[in-house]
Amino acid sequence: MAVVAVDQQHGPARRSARRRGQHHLQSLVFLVPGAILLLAIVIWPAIATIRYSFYNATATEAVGFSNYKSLFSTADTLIAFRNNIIWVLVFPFIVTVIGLVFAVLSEHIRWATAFKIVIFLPIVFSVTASSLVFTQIFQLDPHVGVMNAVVQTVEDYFHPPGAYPLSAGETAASLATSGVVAGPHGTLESGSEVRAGGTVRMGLTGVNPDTLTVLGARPARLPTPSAGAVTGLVWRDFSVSNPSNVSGVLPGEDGFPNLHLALLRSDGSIAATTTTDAFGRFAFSKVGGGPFRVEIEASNFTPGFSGTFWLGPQSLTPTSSLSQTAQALLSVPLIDISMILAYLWIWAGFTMVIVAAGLAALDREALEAAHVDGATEWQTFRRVTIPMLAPVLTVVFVTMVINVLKIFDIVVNLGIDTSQPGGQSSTLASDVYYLGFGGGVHTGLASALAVILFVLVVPAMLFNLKRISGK
Amino acid sequence: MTTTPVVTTPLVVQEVQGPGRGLSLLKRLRPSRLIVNIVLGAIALFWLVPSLSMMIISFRPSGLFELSGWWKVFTAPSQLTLQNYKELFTGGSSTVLGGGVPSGLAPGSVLDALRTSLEISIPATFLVTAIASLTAYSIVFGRWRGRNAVFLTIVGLMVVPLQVALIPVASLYKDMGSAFGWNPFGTITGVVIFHVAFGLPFGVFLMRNFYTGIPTALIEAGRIDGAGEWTLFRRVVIPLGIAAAASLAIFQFIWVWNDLLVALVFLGGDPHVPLTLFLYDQERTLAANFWIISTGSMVSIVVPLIVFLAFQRHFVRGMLAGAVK
Amino acid sequence: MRPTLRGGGKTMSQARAVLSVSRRHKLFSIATLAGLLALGASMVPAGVSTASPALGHIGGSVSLWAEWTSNEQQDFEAVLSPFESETGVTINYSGKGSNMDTAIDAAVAGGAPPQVALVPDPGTVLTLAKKGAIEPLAPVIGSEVSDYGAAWNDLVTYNGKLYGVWFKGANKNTIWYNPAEFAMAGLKTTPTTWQQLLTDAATLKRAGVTPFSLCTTIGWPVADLWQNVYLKTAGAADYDALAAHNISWTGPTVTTAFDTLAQLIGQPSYLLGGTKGSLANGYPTCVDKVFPKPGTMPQAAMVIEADFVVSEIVGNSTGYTAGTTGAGGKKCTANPADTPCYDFFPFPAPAADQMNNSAIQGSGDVAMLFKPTAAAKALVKYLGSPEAGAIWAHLGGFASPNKLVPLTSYPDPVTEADASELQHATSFVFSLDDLQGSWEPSLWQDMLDFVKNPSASNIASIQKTMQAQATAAMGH
Repeated sequence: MAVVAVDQQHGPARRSARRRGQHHLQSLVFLVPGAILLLAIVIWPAIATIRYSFYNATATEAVGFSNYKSLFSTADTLIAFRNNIIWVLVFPFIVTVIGLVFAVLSEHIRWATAFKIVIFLPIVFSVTASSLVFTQIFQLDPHVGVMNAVVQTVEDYFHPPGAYPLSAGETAASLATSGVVAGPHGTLESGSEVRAGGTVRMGLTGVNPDTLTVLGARPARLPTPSAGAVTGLVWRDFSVSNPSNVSGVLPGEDGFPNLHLALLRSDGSIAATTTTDAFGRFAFSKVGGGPFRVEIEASNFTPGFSGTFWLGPQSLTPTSSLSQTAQALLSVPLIDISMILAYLWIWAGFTMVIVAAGLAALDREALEAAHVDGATEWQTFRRVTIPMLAPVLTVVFVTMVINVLKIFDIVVNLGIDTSQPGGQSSTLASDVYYLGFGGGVHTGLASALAVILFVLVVPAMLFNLKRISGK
Repeated sequence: MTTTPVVTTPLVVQEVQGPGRGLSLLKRLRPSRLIVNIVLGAIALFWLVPSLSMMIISFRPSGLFELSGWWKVFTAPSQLTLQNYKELFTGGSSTVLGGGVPSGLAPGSVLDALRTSLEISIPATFLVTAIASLTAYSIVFGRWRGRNAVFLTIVGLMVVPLQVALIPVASLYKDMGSAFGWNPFGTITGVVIFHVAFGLPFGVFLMRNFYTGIPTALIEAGRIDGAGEWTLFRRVVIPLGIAAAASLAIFQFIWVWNDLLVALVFLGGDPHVPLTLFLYDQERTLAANFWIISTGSMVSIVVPLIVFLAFQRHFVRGMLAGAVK
Repeated sequence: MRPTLRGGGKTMSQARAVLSVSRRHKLFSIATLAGLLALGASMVPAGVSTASPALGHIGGSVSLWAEWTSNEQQDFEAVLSPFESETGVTINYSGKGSNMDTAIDAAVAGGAPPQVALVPDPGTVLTLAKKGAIEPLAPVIGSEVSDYGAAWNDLVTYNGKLYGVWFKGANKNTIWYNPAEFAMAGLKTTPTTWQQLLTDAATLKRAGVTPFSLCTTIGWPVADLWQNVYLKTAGAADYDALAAHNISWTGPTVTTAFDTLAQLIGQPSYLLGGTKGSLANGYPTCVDKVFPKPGTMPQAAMVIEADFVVSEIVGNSTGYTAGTTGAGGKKCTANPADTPCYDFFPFPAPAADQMNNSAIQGSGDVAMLFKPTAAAKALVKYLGSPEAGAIWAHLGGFASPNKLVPLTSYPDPVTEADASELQHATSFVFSLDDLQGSWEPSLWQDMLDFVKNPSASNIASIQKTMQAQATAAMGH
């Protein structure tokens, strides 16, 4: 502390120097509560984590770098790393742009407050609740999942399912049982040739009796042969009481109604078409000579839309034939995109609100000046508004980058199984969670992963921060 | 060209008529205004779909959930019912909630859970805002070396995922118990401390960036006049920083209100649990009862929404009073 | 050092028990005698259970944690209430769901664990015993020790002392089927060999019924399924060796198991939704596809799962009858609004390996004691008693590893048969995945990779991967 000045000339200077010292001390004191909390709750555990990364699974013996070695030797870490990269490359940029677009556009509408509330609402929900909502939205079954319901409506319009849609893994050929063989292009053909006046019997299985009942099927009946016509029967060749009997038309076996058939000449051209009745019978009248085959058209079996597996690990990039390492690094699983969509829904409100605050604080005079100078709206936006908003956008972008590098809650809630270590949607933070929790799980590995996470994040963050504090 | 860093943080849900100059810009855009309205309208509708689905599910009988999509309710409005809410508040019959939830304010009931959530969220929010403001003040207006390094370190701590701290802090609490006779583990205070600490890095980040927009001349003038730092903080910085504090408070409140993991770990045996934990306990061991999540979420968002609406109005008042400039 | 177990979120972990034949006979006769005595004791009006007469008034309270929430919590509380009324002890129960391990870890670290806890994996018990956080139980439960098979007890024994008492068991050796769907295909009996299972699946397919609804969104049901196949093809001895990683994952028994399972998984038309649909079919939806709620019809005939599916089935509709006859003696109908049924058959071994039919895979929940207060000790002893087990057994969705719980406690012949299998197994093994420690999630991923592509070349590559992962995690 400066000595009380006797010298009149230097009086005020000494006094202000003392006060500076007091201010110095006082403002340092302000740091104390924050410092204590951060040291105890955040910094110390972080240091403990670094220490544990060199220990074994139960943190009892030191193992040097072997945890790091194991992490880098399996594809699991690569997969998590790749997913983090996908998140970082895609999400912060898009969410910032969306926030900017919404903030700017909403200035032009009267109902801006309502709009902002709608966009902001998702943050108020917990991530658990939002994840469950999106699990429902992304459900495979079009009766339950909105996305697939919409896609199904469109698909069914363009590719309407047949009366007997095939289920997954089935081909029309698998239905052929007696008197039928597989034809080209998913059709079925009668096993033998037939001429006018002849009869054909085609037995099919693999179709649920309830499907037939719904279509109004009746017990199969053999048609009476008719001169000059080709007649026949298509029926379900499966009897509950006699399952081994094939090709006999037994009671209890129903006909196939509403089946579209074609009569093929030997050259493959179509001579006539018809449809089966409720008893499974059909007839092509006045067909002329020549050997024919009866064809069951492929359109009967067009499968319905089975659903896109939005939360599935299938890759959008064609990597299935690559080596494991290449696959780990280059695949882009669909579930990542679905998760990013869900996360955008949650966080766009955050970025919008902050950018809107920045917009509101902008110096309008500069914008007016640009307009007076003759700049168009778009030019003003690009050359004046965005540069002035740059600090705001940077804050938003950096926060989102860090958020995404630590991304964990939505991955674990939406991905459930694919987010397990080694799963296609796992991230570094979700791996840390799964490996670090539960009795006797690998504390060493989890800590090592956490350290890798720190190491990856800090430079990215410092780089961006320099740009802010440098201003 | 303005040289001071632009204010970044205030929460704005302001009317379009706010800054007067904006209107003249708008007049020039009238033809495209219709397009903007349509586009934003479509986006808003689209954005609402998930929230709407949660709302509708909570008003549908629980059994229908797996059988048909929630949009069916538009063709069969008679499906709507208040049954789920009744179950949640008055203690369900065993077939629905499978456990008989206590009613009223008894420990283990929804209302008790709401109260516990408030007991955790309010102090946590207040403390984070206060301490982050203090720390940010010190970093921006303090006169000591190394301020930048300290700032970067604190912000760097945003990187630490909170999972790694759960077990170490639990043992720290236990050690405090042996050393000072007070073990915060299992208490609400322990949870609050944890949340405050992990909310500080982002809080300091936000407040500091806002405070750099406050002219240092103001502070200097105050110092020359003989004011102490605390007075300056209280009289000058806090009023100017209300907007930023309001936005920080909103985000922090929502984050703590919706937290499940910390509550699960630190409040394990307590009969008074926050709402997130209460809902979690209602899920069946091997499956998720979605209807209860949606009903519970509807109840759960009421409080943060109120906080949001209350704070944003406060901010607008501050803005219009010329607080920023 | 015994490999530590990971508390896999949704897995019921299992214990390994191998009873030698002679010991089994001796125990069986003792058990019969005890069973008869217990039978006499259980001739009590339903809903009233007498806690052991040695319990008098104790008073005080006990904090109790277990993973059961919602419906199962209700059942568990029915078990606890006679104890509470007899002893005047207040039990503060908290259900932790799948985060049990996290909660316990943190509570121990924080110095505030519950007084009694039930966990689904024995590894936690051993870890805590090693830390000295829990008490040895032999002096607490006394003679009840002998009510459990040696291998059940071995799993929770550390340094020669017993630290856990088993309470709830689950039988994983079951395939649940909808009798009405089987009838639609003219199947009058259930398969007893693996080959017969495949033939029956083909018959079902011909009748237009999808044979299997596989729960393969998550890895553990596939792992359980594979482990069943391995147990039935290789036998219990090899199973235990593989679990301890004394057999390599690239070995021929492993290949055989994969190839055998590929005979089923490699037929996408046998699986509901094909491969893609299976991967999107989660638990419990996969159960609902075979035993639906009223309003939809079944879409598949069989679901290969442990006996805990029963609570899901009866939760869907109380109209479900256990067995091959519907309610009121009517025929089983496919329509769940009518008279639907449910039944199971044991997981079949291939014809050449029929001696493995009585080796079964299972799991259980084990109780441990943190704080030996009088009330807590009494509670643990009560949980280990046949009376406690009988209460839940009566409610269904429960099988007890306690040999003294009489089979008549079970509400229907199906559950009785299931519990009986558990009690009478000649070899009893624990879920292998739970014994693999930190690479358990990787094992699940590998199983999912297998489902996606069950070709021979992929199997070989998966085996190599698993061998590397196992070596890294288990150290040998």
